[in-house]
Amino acid sequence: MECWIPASVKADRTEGTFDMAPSGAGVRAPLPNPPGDDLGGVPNANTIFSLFGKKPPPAERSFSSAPRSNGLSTPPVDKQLAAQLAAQFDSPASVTDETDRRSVDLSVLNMLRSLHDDGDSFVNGLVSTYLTDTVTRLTALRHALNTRDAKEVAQAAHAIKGSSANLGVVRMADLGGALQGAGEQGDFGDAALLFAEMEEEFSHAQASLAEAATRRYSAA
Amino acid sequence: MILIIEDDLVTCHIITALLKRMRFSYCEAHTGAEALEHLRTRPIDLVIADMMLPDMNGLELLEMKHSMPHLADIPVLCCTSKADIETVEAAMGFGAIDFVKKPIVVQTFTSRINRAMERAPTRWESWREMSKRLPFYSRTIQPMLVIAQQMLRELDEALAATENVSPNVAELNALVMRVRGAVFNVGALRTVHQLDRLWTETADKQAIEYLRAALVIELAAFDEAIAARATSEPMQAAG
Repeated sequence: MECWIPASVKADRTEGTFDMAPSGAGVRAPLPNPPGDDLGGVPNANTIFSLFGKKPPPAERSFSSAPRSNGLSTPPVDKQLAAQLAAQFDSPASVTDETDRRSVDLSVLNMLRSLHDDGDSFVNGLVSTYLTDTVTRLTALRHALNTRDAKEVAQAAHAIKGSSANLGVVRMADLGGALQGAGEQGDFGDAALLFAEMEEEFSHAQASLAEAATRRYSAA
Repeated sequence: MILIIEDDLVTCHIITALLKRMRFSYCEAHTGAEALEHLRTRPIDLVIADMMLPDMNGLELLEMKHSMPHLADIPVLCCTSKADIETVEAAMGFGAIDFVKKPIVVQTFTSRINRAMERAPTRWESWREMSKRLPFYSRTIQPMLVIAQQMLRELDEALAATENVSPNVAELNALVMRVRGAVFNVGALRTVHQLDRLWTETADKQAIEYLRAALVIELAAFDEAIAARATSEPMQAAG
């Protein structure tokens, strides 16, 4: 008995989970026959169990006869847990005095390096993606400010805030947060000032990120 | 498999690197629409969701997921930089089990993912348990998976046929029970669970619709399991 399977498939080492790579050419994989049977046709569960001399599991349940209205009931929300989870968003992110003066928090880049076997290439890839994305978002921000599209201002600023914070580009993240707030309030005067500051800061951030990469290489 | 819903590429790359290091399989979606497509067609065990997406906000996405009974119990870990108590409560009502604050801190995020995965539905019985239950497990699991998947397909065809002809309820119930036995036998615990909670003996239209939606995902899970078993080293037979 044979079956057709995709070739580019790998098993995840996590027990019981599987990862399928993008489909590629197939291979014909022979399947072993179970002892004493060639499994011709599709047997029912009893036949499968009989292959091993075991009884099938008892009918453990009978299906509900009641018609369903909306599928599943929703458990009540744990208000105490919700309050605890929401509380973490009250406190602003803490920055050290040193990172206050810098455009980039180097400890974040080092933490990111530790995520990957080839940490330098990984971080360089992240930086490259960040710089490309931010240029696009700054263009979108300028256009949104020109057209006085407050929602777009808030969205683009939010995106800059998020990617900057995850890469440790702290001042850009702060400016992104402030600009998002100005966009949400429709304060275009404030938004224009913050945008000018953000453009200037982005050039500093580019230089700092380049310097951080160089320093890392020379240290290595 | 973990579904990452994140429109920011930098954040997405960081999360995927973290999941790779933790040896979890994953897939990515950059919009709400992409996320829903993955949820409808792939065996997702946990969702890591940004709360602000280009085409919808996180709450809308969670509400849509929660409105589909076969997906409602998939846990969601929300990853966001800003959330108020109302958002958190609403998200928890739609299946969110935790909120992680951005920016991502590796240690915190790792422990929260591990904790969230404990809440994920168990998809397959462990290899160890399977080996205890089935002495010839290593040599026979592959054909048994193929047979069980074929039975799932037959069930899907039988359910599809009810669109044109009124269903023979007794036959459908018997078929569902046979399929349940077959998938139970190969340790497909999630498939058994879906059959148990979505099927009703009255074979009403809604149950058929829900079960067919779930079967799309379960068949995909079997595809992956069969393919993975075919390329992995044969296990030593227990006993």
